[in-house]
Amino acid sequence: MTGAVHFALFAANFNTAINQGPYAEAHNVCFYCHNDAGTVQPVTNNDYSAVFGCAPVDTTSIMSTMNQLSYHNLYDIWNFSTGRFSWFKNDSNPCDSCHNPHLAKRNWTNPKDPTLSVMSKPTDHFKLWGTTETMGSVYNTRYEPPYCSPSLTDREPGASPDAVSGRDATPDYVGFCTDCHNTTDTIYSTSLGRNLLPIDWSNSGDKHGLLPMDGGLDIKPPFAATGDYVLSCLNCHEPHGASNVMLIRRWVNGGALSGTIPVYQGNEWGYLCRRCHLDDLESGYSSTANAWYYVHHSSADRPYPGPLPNCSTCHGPGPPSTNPIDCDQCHYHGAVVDIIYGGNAGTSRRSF
Amino acid sequence: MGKKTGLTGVLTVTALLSVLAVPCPARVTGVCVNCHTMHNSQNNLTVTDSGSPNQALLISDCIGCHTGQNTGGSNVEPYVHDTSPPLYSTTGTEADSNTLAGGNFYWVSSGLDRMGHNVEGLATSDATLSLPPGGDGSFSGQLRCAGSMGCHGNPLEAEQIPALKGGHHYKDHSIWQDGSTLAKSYRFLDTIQGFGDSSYEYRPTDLRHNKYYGLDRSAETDQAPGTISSLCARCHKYFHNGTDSVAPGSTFGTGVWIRHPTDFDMSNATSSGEYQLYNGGTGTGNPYSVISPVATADVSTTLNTTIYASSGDAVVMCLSCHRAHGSPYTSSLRWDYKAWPAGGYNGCAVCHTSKN
Repeated sequence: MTGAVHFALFAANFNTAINQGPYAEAHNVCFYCHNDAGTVQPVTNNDYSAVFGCAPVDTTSIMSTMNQLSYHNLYDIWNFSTGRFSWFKNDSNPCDSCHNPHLAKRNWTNPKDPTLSVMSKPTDHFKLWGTTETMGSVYNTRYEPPYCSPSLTDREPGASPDAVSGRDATPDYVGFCTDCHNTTDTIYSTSLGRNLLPIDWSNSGDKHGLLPMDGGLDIKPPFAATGDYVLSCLNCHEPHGASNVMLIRRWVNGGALSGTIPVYQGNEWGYLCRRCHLDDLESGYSSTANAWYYVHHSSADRPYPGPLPNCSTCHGPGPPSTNPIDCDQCHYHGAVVDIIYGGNAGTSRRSF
Repeated sequence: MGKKTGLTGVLTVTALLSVLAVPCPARVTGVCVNCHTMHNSQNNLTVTDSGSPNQALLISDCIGCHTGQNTGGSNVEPYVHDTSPPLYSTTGTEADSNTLAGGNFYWVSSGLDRMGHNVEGLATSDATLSLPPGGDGSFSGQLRCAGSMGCHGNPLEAEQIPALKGGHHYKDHSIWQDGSTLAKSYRFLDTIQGFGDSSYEYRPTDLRHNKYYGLDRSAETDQAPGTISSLCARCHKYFHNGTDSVAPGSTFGTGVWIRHPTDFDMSNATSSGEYQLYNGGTGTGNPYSVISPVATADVSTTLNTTIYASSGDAVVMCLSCHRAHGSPYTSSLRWDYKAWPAGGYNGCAVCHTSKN
């Protein structure tokens, strides 16, 4: 060997010894360009929330976006893809699992034009995904594009003028992401130290997917209480990295989350939920934001009709308001809650 | 013979040009004086361009004979160097071009190091490259046309003209050049096989072009003797063959390239369908491209006008991208990749059809 590297690249493709972030330029050949000023050939890339979601600009490169609290772990992608996809070699770059650098287009130049797709499905690496496979073409009106700007008059992506154009301009991210994140593939997360939860977006899976809702819906516009919606993965998640856990976006449905979600186990998840669902403040139940008595105990669809005789059975000692149950206890991909207390005891609910 | 004066120098050049104006076919069939001078004396003037007698009584050397402007024709003397800018157009193949398959040394001789081989007598040594890139260090010194420091002729012969001994007089263009002798070597490239176009690819087409010899290798250490790319490997070894040089750690062609493959049949690259669409084809009987040509393992004189018609007929070679002598483009490429995509031409896409 006289200095040449795989795929005849200018630098080593990916350093497989780096199994977690933060990443540096030399870890991945893509970062020689998809990096901030001061690097070899910086290319400006903002996060999904900014480019497609109308959020103010935050991070300015793919590497800096990935060097946040949560990120798509490149080593895990590489580890998963090796042997999983026939075209993916031991020396391939994990970025290639989602992108074909020879086909990818600059979607950010016109976020409303899905033909400028940057993605290739890992099981169909040699063509772009989403140019014609849009949320509109696959799910029609079951996909409701969220608001984009704080005016709450336009839609994602990129301040599309209305829902129709928004859903037609949104690639089928469900089809894309579930190429890996499905119920059959097992993906280990070095960052989490466990396998990722399987994702079932079918009509027997999550309610945020194709499973019809099983009761009322305490929801905010543009969603309607009567709707059976299918969300896009990128309604809630960033593709590369985020300042919140689990790649949760900082900006959802036309506004910023009211706080960060720094840990998996906590009720800061409510900052995300309340971008679409009615908390006590917005339901008018109380003046407390990110409190969830209304949906759990008061609304028509409440699972635990209240007031219950003994709050401490579930909440522990003290006033429930000071000891809320962490959202993640019941609401996560694939979650089903067996109700063992109160009027609905003996029933169960799909709780995500 | 006394030292030339300025006047006799001018007259010598005039006399030389008058001699060179006579076509000098590669297989020498004309009168002897087209190429030779018995005494280096004519009308009280020297005949050779240097003024001094040449070996083999030649009136000139490689450069002297092969400098001129091509006008086409079958088996006429091929000019590889022009003293005025040749017509290259976009890819050197168009109807308004006048260069040949090897390109032209004009640009490198004009001081543009990256646009050709810095051959002694035509250009100074490369200011950047002290050794051939990709070489093993065994070849040092400035490149010549022929001999042990050159590409043509007997590589065991130090002197250029003796290195071509048994070449020009014995060339038979009508047969497959099997490399068994110098005369039977493709373009006097010793041991190299092939079948040359009679007009040296002056304005070639898919129906009229050189037939380059290539092999579909199964190991990166295979030197593929006889192929046109193996000739390049004499100096640029690791660009063609060697352990961990091209495709380490895997069966050749099934793993990951670390250098662009040569002597490898594109039909084996099945991880994607992009190569099947070579030059606008469908994967069967694709038209041959004179812009990004391929070599073949077929050793018949039947011209390979299509590829993907038989096994081993889509072999990537060094000359798929480069001109051996020179071009107006960086790295002696056949097309102006550096100016692409704003301008120039992306000949890569002839093969890499999905990456355009």
